[in-house]
Amino acid sequence: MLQALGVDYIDESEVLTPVDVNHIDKHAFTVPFVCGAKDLGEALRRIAEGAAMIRTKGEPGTGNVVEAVKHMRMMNAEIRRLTTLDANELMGAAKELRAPYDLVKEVAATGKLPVVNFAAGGIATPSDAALMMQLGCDGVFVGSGIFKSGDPSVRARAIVEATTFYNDPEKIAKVSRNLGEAMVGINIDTLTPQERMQDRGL
Amino acid sequence: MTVRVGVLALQGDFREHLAMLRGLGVDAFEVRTPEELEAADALVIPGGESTTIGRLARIYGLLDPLRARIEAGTPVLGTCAGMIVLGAATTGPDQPQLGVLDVVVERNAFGRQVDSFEADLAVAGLDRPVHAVFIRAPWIAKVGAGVEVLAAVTDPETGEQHPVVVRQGNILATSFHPELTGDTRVHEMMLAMVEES
Repeated sequence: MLQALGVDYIDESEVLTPVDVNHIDKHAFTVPFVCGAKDLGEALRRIAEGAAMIRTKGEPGTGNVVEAVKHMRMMNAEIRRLTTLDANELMGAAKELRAPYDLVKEVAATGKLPVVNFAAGGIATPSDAALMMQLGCDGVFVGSGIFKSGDPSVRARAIVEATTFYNDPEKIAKVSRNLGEAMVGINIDTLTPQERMQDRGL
Repeated sequence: MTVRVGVLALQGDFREHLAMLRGLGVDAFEVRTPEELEAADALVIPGGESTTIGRLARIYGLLDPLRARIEAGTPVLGTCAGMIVLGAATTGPDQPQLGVLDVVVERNAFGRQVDSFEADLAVAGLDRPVHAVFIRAPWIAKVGAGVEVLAAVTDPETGEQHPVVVRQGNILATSFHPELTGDTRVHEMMLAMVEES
């Protein structure tokens, strides 16, 4: 239905209560999908299903970037590790990652995901966004971090600027001034396992 | 001397342009500030979202310096959104544009994201067709007198021809994304313009 409406992208989001434990066979659609992942195995499983873009899951709606950082670090470390393995070790790695062998081989050869990778889930400040870019993300998704803040339009502009100039600390400091109240962060430890959205999905 | 090409890196697929240019042995670098613009012998305005690129260029004080450089003869390649940013107007609402390329651009001319497609396209000056990737691509609705049309497509509804590759002096623009296929010929056309200039 969304494809028929002509939407540009679909986020197969774990934030919305999943109606199905299975993920969608995205190859059956022409509209591109973006899917969340906590680690390389999850990212490669989604790509095998046809995801055109990946984003870190983070912990959405918390204004707490810690989980997104953790997921990005995990993905980077696993990609780096693959590039150090010899060809005989890749099937074992695919088994460990629970990821398709062909994609594991491809990542081992190129040292990067075959699709773009965004940061999402808990980004609430310009420096959060810059941090995720420094970790190698291709872009940043921000939702509640902007909309639940005191002055959404000013904060949105500052986050965009920090994302563009992510390697320029002076600029990031400058745009971080006078943004009004930030979204109140939620500590991940205070969430019950049922409340944690990042654990949804296969 | 190695040619230095600045790729506008405010938004969009600047990384793909950088990779292609570096593959051609060019010193390619990201441009986000007027100071970074100074060092460039040629410029690329990448694909992306043209309103975003135009607005960020204005906010970051790049719109006027970019216009000045291009008007002074610096060769520039604009792809997809880059074509829109170079243009004089669009058929839609006003948005920040450089106005250096005398064309009126129709945004999303082929439709939405789901209507994106690939096709082989004959381009004047190239020996064989280019495999062109059109992603939510624009076409040119109206060309000015000094603009040379190098390739066009036919509107399936009206049968009209719409330019998708144009050149006006030091400005080269394509509706499609030459940076996404391995074919370097469009970028080489731009580098040849550096030799000429």
